Amino acid sequence: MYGCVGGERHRLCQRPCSGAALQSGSPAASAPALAALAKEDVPAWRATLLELLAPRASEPAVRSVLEAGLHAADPLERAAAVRGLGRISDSAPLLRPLLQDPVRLVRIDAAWALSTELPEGSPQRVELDSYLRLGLDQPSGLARLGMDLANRGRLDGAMVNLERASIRDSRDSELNLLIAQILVRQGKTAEAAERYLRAAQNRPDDAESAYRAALTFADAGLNSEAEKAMRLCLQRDPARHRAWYNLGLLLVKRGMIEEALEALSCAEQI
Amino acid sequence: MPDYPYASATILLQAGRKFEAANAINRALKVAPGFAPARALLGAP
Repeated sequence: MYGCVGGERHRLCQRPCSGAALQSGSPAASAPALAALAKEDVPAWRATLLELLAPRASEPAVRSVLEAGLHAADPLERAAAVRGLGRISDSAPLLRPLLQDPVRLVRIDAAWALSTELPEGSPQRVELDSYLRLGLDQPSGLARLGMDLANRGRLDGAMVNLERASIRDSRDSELNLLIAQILVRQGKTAEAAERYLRAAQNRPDDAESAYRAALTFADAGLNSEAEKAMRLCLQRDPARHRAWYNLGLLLVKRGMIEEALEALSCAEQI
Repeated sequence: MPDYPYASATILLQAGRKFEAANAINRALKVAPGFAPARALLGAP
């Protein structure tokens, strides 16, 4: 508890402590951050706390502070609140008024969140497109434009930009995951599986991407590759019973009955 | 998860290993007594 006693010192400690708790993924982690937010009066820190709470925007208490943040005096707070609520599907009516915000940062974040409904040629669409164009000399900017096009259903255009970004930064796992999702939507399952696998290979602890790679290889009928990816997943997360189950099903398809029964037994015992 | 022993049961049945299949079906029904696919297999072994 060093440094966590008394007034200002307590508050100074709460900022990083609550942030670290949120990043740990603990289910109860929202409470300290919400408490810290209630006591915080520095707008930049309030915005940071809102940003950290954003992944939990579906929790009622978090949603409530994010909604309050939309009306904050400071634009950093408003922008953070917009980004947080942008993760929730039914938040559009709350975000629409922010398209008229006097501060560009807030308008851009609102336009990003509402991109799919912005009419072509509208001031908000033009402003967002102009902002997206500014970043095209960087992989992250290309990826952002690609994401926007994908969200609007323009999958071919999205792929062009995402592939360009990927050429410059082929080890970016998030980018590979995004490309994989689009390839699945385009029905290119074998290519999608390769991308999931690449994402998994670039993150040594990532069992989920290996699992997705395995399922997608299986969808493409590539059972040998699917088995390898499923084993990679299980190497990283041996307690994933669904992966043992799917490994069993894959092994049956390959005629490996005893190994399949063994995998299913593992699934059953977890 | 009743579908794990159920999957074992279907594989064992196809392999002609009826006794082991029956055990797997019982395990599935122990986890979920109303699990229809396992109940449907009951008559098979």
